[in-house]
Amino acid sequence: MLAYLGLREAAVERAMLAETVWPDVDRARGLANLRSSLWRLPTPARAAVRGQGSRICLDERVNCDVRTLTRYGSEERRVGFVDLMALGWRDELLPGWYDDWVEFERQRLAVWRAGVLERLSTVCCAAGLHGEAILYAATALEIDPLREGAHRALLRAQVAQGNLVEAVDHYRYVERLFANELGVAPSDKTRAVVQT
Amino acid sequence: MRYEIGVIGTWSLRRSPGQVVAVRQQVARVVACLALNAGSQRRSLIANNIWPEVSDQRASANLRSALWHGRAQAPGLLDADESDVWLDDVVVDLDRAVEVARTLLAGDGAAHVPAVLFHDLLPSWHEEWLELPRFVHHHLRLQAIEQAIEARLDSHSVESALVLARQLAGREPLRESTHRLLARCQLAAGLYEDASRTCEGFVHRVRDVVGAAPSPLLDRLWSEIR
Repeated sequence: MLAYLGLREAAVERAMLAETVWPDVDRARGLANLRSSLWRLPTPARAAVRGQGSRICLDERVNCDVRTLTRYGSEERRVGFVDLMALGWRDELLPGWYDDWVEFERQRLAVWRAGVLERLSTVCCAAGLHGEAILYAATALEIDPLREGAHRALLRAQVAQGNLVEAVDHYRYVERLFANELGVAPSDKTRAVVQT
Repeated sequence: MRYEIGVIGTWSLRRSPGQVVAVRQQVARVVACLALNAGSQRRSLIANNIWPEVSDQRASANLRSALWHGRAQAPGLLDADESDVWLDDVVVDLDRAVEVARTLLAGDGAAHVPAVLFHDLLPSWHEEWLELPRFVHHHLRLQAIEQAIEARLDSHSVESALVLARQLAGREPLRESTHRLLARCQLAAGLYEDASRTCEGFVHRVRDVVGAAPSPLLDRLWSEIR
């Protein structure tokens, strides 16, 4: 329950929270579960949860590691690759939790992270930081291996670095991967990167 | 009891301190796959990853058998309940390599570059689930070593830069950025003929092996040398 609140920036309806975290029970039972979990929280943690009528949220002084992550990503602050990794950018959300809502949030966070990493790669490549661009793109691909934009960002950085043989090798790998997984060829835009 | 898992270069499993433990190939695959996935994974997921070509039922039977042999051959290494499989108390060489690479990339280019950075993840294993982690680590370690060479050149530790560049160029014969770095190290050391030979050798090799031309960056460097 606290995990779900940590992922939400704004307050959520009690009923919705109960339904998300306990989807298998009826509404009344869910709300009862919510009440009893709130009541069973140890005292310091109880102070972290704020009620606003029918809505509930975390106290503004409480931070969640995911919030730190999203803040770094949305501000597009210039953080180095290593600092970003130290914040846990490769780590999955709540590994070992298999509730539906966790799977959904995990997927959402993964897609968002891959997008930010791809943009960082493009920005670094344009700034002449080719090595860093490659690392960002590779990390985006680790999260989402079929993301064509990230493959393209990687190829562009490899070409800019002068590593043409490696770029062609990687393009062949993308061709194989796309044929096996999606049954399609990479787009013309991607092919154009290695044909120049 | 603590185990040391080696997934860089060749597979190894040691019971601390240093005693080699032999396990079946199927056990090694499960252990390596877990080591690359933060030490724990869902049963169904790891079974399908490692045995993608067989039915789900067959894959989970294979996993059960691997766990059984694992417990017999390396007690205290693998543990499982009905939904997950995990590694108990282990040290993985990859974690150490990633840490060193990040230190080098974070700007401490003068830091020692250990031999572990010169090898890929289990290069002789042909498993689909290894491709992505291998690819990511490959880029991480090469960028880290090249940055270490650059840093040594900048701080005029030419000898040390040259040693690293030679070592990396020998392992990556078709990587141009490494050869440009090597030529720059040779120039800095006053070895003009060697620098010229490095460029010429690379151009010929790329033409003979893949029929490609070098990038304009190498052309420019080579003409400067001449």
